[in-house]
Amino acid sequence: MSKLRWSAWGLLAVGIAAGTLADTPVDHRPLTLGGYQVLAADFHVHPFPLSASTLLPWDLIIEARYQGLDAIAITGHNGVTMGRIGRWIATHFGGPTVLPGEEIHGPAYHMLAIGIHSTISWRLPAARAIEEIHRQGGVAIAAHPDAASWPGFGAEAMRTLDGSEIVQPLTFAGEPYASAMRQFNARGHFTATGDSDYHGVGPLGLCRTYVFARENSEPAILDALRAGRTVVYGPDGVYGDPALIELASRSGRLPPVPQHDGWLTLLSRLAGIPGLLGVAFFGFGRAYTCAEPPSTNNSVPVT
Amino acid sequence: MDESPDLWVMFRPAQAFPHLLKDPAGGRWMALRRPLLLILMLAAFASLATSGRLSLRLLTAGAECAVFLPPLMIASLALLRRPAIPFARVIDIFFMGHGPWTLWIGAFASAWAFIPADKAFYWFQFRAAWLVPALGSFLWSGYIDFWFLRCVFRKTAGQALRDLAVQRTIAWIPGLAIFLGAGGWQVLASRFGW
Repeated sequence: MSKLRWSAWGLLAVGIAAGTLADTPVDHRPLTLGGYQVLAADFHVHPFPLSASTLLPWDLIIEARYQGLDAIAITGHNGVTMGRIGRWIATHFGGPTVLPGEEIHGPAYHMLAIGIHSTISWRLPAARAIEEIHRQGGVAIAAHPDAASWPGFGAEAMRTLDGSEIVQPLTFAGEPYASAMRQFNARGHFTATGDSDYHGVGPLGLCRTYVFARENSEPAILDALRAGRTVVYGPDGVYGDPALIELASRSGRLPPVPQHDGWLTLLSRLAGIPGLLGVAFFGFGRAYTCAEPPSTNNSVPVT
Repeated sequence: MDESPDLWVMFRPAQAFPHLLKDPAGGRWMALRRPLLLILMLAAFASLATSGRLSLRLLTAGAECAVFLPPLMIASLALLRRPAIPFARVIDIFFMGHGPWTLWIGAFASAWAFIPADKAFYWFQFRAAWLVPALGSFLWSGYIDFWFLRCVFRKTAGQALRDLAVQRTIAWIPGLAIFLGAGGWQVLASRFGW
């Protein structure tokens, strides 16, 4: 085995070993403030398959626990099946509370339907979709409502919508997006949520919502969302219920979003990525060299 | 380039493929090793892009999602294959042609691993920065597979182009459907008024 080949496999092994040692769950303790349980939640999590993501429902549940989340909503694109599978797994095997949901992914608007049990068609206008979400006992949250999607939410939809994302990865794309989501939220005095819109890139729970719920259960979380009992930290401000923001600020105990940049993680990247590329290109040894390469002209059929 | 047949195939496929056919090696491991490598690459992407590191837990999770792809590709080859060549060898040589995608995945995963997530999301909006290289990988791997069909399956240029289209259709359309699902369908349906 050549030195190159050994080095590649060795670097990859070091990268995986360092990454595995660094891969520990966030130390996360239950927090009670003002008589409420404060739950770290992410209500916009896409599963594999069928939703352009890279983790299956059971792996999302494990990843959510590692990221210190108490609750997640698994929101498939135009489908609730993966969310229901996730809830079944969390109910039977433990983990954060899983709310089944759907991102209604239509041409005019995107909307999170949290706590529903059957798929809602993306062909419905927003107001009808909200009506159907409420009929199923769920909560309707506008997903990343940038200025382009505002016309999709008519007057009736704006009257019946429960919440809107105010902080999410689009926030980091620039002030016009961040500002549009803030303005949308202010127009309707909606419940503010912060979600990671997890698609497999960037950490799960990067943006999160602190929900002030009576207990950690699906009905209690949905009640808190309907009542607007949330606090969301963004790069440029804190959003949500002013009294709860004040309560959280005075306590100073809301857990920060975990960071993963220790030296083991750095070693995992620095060794693992070159190792991976080395294995891909040199991992299976040299080409067969007993014969000279035949000329291309003799080996390819003439058109 | 004989230190790396994969690089040879990547840069000089018309010369590499006929030579590689002379390799007498075979067996089950040969049929499995490069499909497994593809799964490892995709699993590593999932792990790095999510957590910035390679952990066994996330590698396993990523592999669970990637495991369906090699069978799709192998099925597409099985429909096109030239019977005289041992299929294990065909699989191994075909999967050597993934070099351009390996580079793209490596670069994309590295960006997400090394750049803080908030900055990475800022750059993510400039889609051309990652879609144009992806298109480049798509075309480059197509060129490699064209020569694979020419040299290994001994197709004429026209046949090779046709079979390349068939292979991509069999392997990619179900793959994209599984990955994108109803969201992808909605985008198509809305665009074409279905």
